[in-house]
Amino acid sequence: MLIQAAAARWRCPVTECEARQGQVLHKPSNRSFAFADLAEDAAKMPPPKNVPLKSAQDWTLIGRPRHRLDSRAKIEGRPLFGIDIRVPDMKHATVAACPVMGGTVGEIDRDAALRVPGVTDVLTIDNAVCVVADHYWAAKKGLEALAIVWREGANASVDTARIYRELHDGLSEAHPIVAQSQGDTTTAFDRADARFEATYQQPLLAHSTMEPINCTIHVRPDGADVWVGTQVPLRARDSVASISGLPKEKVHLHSQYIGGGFGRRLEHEYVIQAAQFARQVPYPLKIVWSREEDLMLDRFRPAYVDRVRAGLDHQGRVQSMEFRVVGPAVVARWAPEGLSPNGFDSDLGGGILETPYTYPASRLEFVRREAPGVVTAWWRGVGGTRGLFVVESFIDELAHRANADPVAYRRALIQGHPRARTVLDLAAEKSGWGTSLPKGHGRGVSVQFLFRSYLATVVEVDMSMPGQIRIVRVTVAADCGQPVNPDQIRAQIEGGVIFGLGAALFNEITLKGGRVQEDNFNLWRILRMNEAPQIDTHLVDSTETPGGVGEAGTAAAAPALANAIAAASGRRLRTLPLMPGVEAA
Amino acid sequence: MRHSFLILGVVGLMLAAVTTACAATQGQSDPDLIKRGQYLARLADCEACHTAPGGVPFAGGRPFAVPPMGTMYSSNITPDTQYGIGQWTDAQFVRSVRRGISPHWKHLFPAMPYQDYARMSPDDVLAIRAYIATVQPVARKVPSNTGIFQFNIIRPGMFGWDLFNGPSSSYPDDPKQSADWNRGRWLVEGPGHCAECHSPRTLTMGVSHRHAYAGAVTAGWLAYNLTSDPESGIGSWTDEALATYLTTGHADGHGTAAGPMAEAISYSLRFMTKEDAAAMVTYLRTIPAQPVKPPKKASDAFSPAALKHGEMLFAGACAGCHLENGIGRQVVSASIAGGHTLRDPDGLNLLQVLIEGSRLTTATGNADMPRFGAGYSDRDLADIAAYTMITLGGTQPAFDTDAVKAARKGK
Repeated sequence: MLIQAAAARWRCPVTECEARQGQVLHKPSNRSFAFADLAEDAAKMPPPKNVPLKSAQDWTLIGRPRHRLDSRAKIEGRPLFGIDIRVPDMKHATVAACPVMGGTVGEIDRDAALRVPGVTDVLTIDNAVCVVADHYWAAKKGLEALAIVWREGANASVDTARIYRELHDGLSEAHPIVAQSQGDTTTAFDRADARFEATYQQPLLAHSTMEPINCTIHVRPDGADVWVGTQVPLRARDSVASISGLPKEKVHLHSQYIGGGFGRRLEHEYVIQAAQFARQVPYPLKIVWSREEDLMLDRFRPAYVDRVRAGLDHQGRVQSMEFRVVGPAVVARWAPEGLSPNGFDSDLGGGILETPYTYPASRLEFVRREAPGVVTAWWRGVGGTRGLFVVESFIDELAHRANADPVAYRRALIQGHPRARTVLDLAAEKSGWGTSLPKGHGRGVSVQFLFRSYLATVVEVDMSMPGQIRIVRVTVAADCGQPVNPDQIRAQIEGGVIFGLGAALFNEITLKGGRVQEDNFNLWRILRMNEAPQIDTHLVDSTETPGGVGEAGTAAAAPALANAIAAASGRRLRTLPLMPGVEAA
Repeated sequence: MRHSFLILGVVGLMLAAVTTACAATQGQSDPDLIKRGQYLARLADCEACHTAPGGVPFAGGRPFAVPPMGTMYSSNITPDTQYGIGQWTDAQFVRSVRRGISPHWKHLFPAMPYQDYARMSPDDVLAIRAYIATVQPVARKVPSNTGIFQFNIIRPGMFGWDLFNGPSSSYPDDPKQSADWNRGRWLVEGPGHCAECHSPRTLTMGVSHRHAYAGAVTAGWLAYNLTSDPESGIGSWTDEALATYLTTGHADGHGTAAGPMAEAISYSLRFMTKEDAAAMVTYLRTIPAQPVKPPKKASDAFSPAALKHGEMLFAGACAGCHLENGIGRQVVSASIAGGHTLRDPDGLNLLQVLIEGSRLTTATGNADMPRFGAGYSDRDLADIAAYTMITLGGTQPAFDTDAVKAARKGK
């Protein structure tokens, strides 16, 4: 349409015009118009029915590495994120909510908080207290001075053991939801030459984003403004409207950069909380949660228990595959309409139904067990991260039982997904799969088809020192369809792998007395730069429809690592996190 | 005091003496008396033991675990008339503090260091009473003792224990010594009750006088040798370093107080006047030197790869505050280079502080060491400790990963 506008203005054929670098160029005369100059004319034209796409050889942007436009601003620490917001007359605040879910505010020493220099107000709602001050430190000291006594409620008895016990009980549920059934798994299992079964357990996880939860909000009789990092701006706006009593069009949400989301910003309960406080005061209120509050009051990736059963032929090849998943259905809370009619959360099919593998018979059962004492939510890689650990660990165990090479075993299982074979072969080649390793080292592999992208990952570990896992190297081969910015793809895969490795090694949220115990990074460990392995990412040159990569690396990390540990030590770890399991040796 | 002790099998006869106690209430509202009482209460460190972790001051409920025998809980000593000591007479209070006998003639367990507090005069104790009467009353029942401590039947055994290890009375000043020395002795051996932690125990679990202040392990922490020995004691410390350490919890080149010592400073020692701190130093200087423990054989648990691992973890988890060279960033309490803790080859306190963390309260706020025990493995913590000890303490470690396991249990 821009080209048409230019051609009309120059009164020449459209074939003589070319768009590039924000301009339309008339090739014969070398005249040009900027897009901006043509926009108004173009807007008046009817949209064309058939748009000819530029052929790949003419592309100048797609497929080439480019720097992100915002890299410089981030490096320079410019105010991009929600936490950076400054508005006139703004006051700073921090909050504490009852650390036990469902609890309420009992006693507070309001006067003690107000005596802290800089503290100007103390606001309460049913389950949280907010201290307002001239600056954050005063608000934090004021919050401490409150000496809050909570009425903890029924969830004060929840601990981690109970959560896991309820999940394991689900394995014997007589009437599971059948999410998928293909072929006759029961008969195939009964007739199999051999059978194998394993149970896997995964913990509650926090998002632990770099930027803690924050929200700046101003509620006035005539309207409201909200400055916040969120992935669900319309939901957040609607909630503020509801709480303040304002019509939706009077609430303006100014969406900000997010300093790490990983699923946490798909929730907006912190905006609701902020609105409940902000409507009590006339000035803009900037609420920042402390790191402790951010970790303890997170909405957690649920804990799950999975059981897998396979019927095998005499050579160890799969004849039937049965999966049972026990845990929460996150979609039931977040978007109830997304739950299938029989109660299945399709996200839980990630890695299991969404897979490059083909089985003669397969079945997926789901037993819904909502977690007591915590709110559960999505976490980076969502169902794929959860499911892939189960599938790829199990496939590796089957390969081991068949005395087969894990790569070869997987290759044979991949039917109708040539791109999966390609990445598997590429990762094997680039990682030196099959070549000899030093004593105490091991390699593990995983293959995935998630987010419409194919990845194969090889992790090499060094376990020559007792009680220690050192990750030597990670090799990833990825086919995500037509690359747009290859550098960004590599960066996202690397980031995802690091995120996933740290969680797999160290992370578990535990509850005691209904309270989350991991409140800062001394107890909730993050893989640091000096612990990060070398990560080599190899992109397949592809022209297929682009798929997602932002979360793919996260999903790949745990299974490849667990498989590497098994190869290095001979010990199969079926419970995450892995490091405690190693120490238990 | 937070030491373990064995219960004697001696069943002593309870004294049947009946004393009619008339409560003397005069002076209860005297501001000077209350102020003196507050100072003495701080010297005696009452608040630390009679406050549950994160709890209300003086409301009791702090656990004292004596595995495998059970757990005692400190009592509520607020003025509350139902759950506290609001209805106690002054004479009853004095008897509890100085003789370890409660109003119902129950012998207290020596977790309450009445054997040291006996050096305070009745007037001193009554001043403390006057101060505690001004504390907010808290109507809160403390948890009941568990294990053998829930049975009153063992309390008469305390009578026998007291015969061997019980309170002595105030003693006169030594005329051969200076007023400072005498004041210092009173502080150290009386309300400060330093020997309870810093002296080893006898067979009957009383404080050893033969090895007074020679150092001891209490609740998993090593309370250092306070004698004038230049190597293992405080002989090489300057007076200034000692006084600074006692009143702020830190001395450059010696380290930062942690664990129970951090508590003692946070609740007690930092409130001392300069004169009292100087007096305490004067007395400590004269404690006879105790012989140096023979050095332990260096451990073979730390290969170069292990130390490399420790270095990597130190860089990630520790260097942010302590810096690579251990001189600390921004606050003196983060300075650990050359510290006493890093020169104990057994690494008792180093491992404890890594596992449990520590909080030190000073005039300028809290200095917190986070706890790393639940976030790191035994191997991780051992390697961090070994690397730190070798690099910043110039000492070869004598511990291994089993010491980490033991330290975890000790808490």
